[in-house]
Amino acid sequence: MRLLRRHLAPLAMITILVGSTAVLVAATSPAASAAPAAVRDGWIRIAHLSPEAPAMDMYVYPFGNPGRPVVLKDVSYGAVSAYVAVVPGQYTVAMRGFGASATSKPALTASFMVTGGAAYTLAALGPDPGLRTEVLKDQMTAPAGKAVVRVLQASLKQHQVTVSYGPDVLARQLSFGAATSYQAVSPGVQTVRFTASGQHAAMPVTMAADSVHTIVVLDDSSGLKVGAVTDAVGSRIMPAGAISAGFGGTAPRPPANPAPWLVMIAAGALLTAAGLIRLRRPA
Amino acid sequence: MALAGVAVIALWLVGGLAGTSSQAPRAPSPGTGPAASAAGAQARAAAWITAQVSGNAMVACYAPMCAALQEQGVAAGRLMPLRSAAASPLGASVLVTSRSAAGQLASRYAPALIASFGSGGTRVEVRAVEPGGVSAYRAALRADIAARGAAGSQLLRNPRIRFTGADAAQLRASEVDTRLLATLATLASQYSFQVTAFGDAAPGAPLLFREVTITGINRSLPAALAMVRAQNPPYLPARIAIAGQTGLSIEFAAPSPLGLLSPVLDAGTPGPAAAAGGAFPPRSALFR
Repeated sequence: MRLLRRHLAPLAMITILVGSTAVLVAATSPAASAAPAAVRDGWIRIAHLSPEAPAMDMYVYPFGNPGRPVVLKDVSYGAVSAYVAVVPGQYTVAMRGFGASATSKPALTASFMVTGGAAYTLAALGPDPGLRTEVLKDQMTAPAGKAVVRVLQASLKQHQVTVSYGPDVLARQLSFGAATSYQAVSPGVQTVRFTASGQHAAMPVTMAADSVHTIVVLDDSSGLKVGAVTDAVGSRIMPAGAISAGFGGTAPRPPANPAPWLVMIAAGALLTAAGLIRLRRPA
Repeated sequence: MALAGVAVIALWLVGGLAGTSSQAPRAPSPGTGPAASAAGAQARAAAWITAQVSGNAMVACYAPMCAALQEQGVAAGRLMPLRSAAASPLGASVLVTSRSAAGQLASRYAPALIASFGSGGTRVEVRAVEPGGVSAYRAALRADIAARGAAGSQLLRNPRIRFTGADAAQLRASEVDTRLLATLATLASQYSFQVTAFGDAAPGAPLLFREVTITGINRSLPAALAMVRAQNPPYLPARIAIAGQTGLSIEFAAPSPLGLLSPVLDAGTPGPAAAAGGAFPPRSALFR
């Protein structure tokens, strides 16, 4: 019994320490930063569209609460994160090299305002050095029975690209860094074609009714590459949106639930208290 | 007095039209009277532009003003001489002109007054050229003022930054440059500090502070300095210095860009970073 008492307190302390650390990690993780989506929350996601830039960690800091950033780790070319719910307000976007410490020097690339109920894509594009972040406001609904699509031009090899979807020309001579408005198209499977000086690319893309899409003009080793991202389906924004062009997505983990850790801390605290009381009693 | 004003205007325009072929910079005329007053205003304007306007900005100017700028060390390659009273300054970032000559040019190309020197007919105005025209500028300015006020109010709630009453009032009044706001927010992601003063409002123009002094970072000051220095345009300050023993002074160049706080990409339009010409900083790495 004495042996048990002797080990009870340290065990309890360890439990508290482990539990507290886990809660700290959970609280500072992007998922926890993304508080449960309230009605008036906004939504953000991050897209890495620069073929020259290495994988990176992206931090989105609220102006009013910098201790709780949204953090996406190891975002690499072609990846589009899931949407993350954030409180409306002003934010800055900062990038660090993959694996760099959260206290290392960040590169501030943009500042933007989140409005309640709106969704945004933060697209990192351009050469490296010279990477920049463009903020696109995403549409979340489509007219009944239609699909809507826009084009984002992120090619470093071709600065003017014409883009069509089946018979519809979505963009003519679209400049690097520019995006079109969303346009309604008939749902179905059509070929997306990129035409630029001496180069072509094509890929069949399915657009279902009531869905919202972004076509991205990308580069690969042989020329242009079609990237297609689904922004929303049936009035619901996509939980994850890896570009469907053979790239991997950066699907964030589901929101961390701190409840188990809180239970562990409470249990640890009780054990500690019990241990301390027993230790103070004369043997 | 009116006659003197007319004489000064004539001096500006004649100088502007006749002096373009001259390669030699003109020194401000010594003495008193309207001519000296005009020269003095030009010299002050040239000194301010040299110190405060971005080193990459093209400056449109009439010949006397161009000469004054060259005397202050502005490279000829950054100057866009205007060869007639109605010449377009498009292509330049900044227009320097007299008040009398500013009417047409300002209404067409450069509605944003960023500084002025002197008074009456000898007043020299420094204006930001807005390629999108007056109505687009006004809309962008309205949105920017609203965004500055909202962002400033959110910074006031930031638990890692302490402000004086005066600074808080300036934040709420949208009088702080957007680059400063974003920089303060980013610094606060790493450090706690006190804003002691905003500064560098330009003379003779609507209040907009482009400089800040912060204290309280203490032992992390070198790291904070390095962090600010590591930024890329448009978030790379023109000057960063240790102020006193524990302070950090951060100053951005004029003119202050519009739209940085809410740069949502419009259809078919490159974003503000590209429009500002700062899209591809040539020799700065993302991760340093």
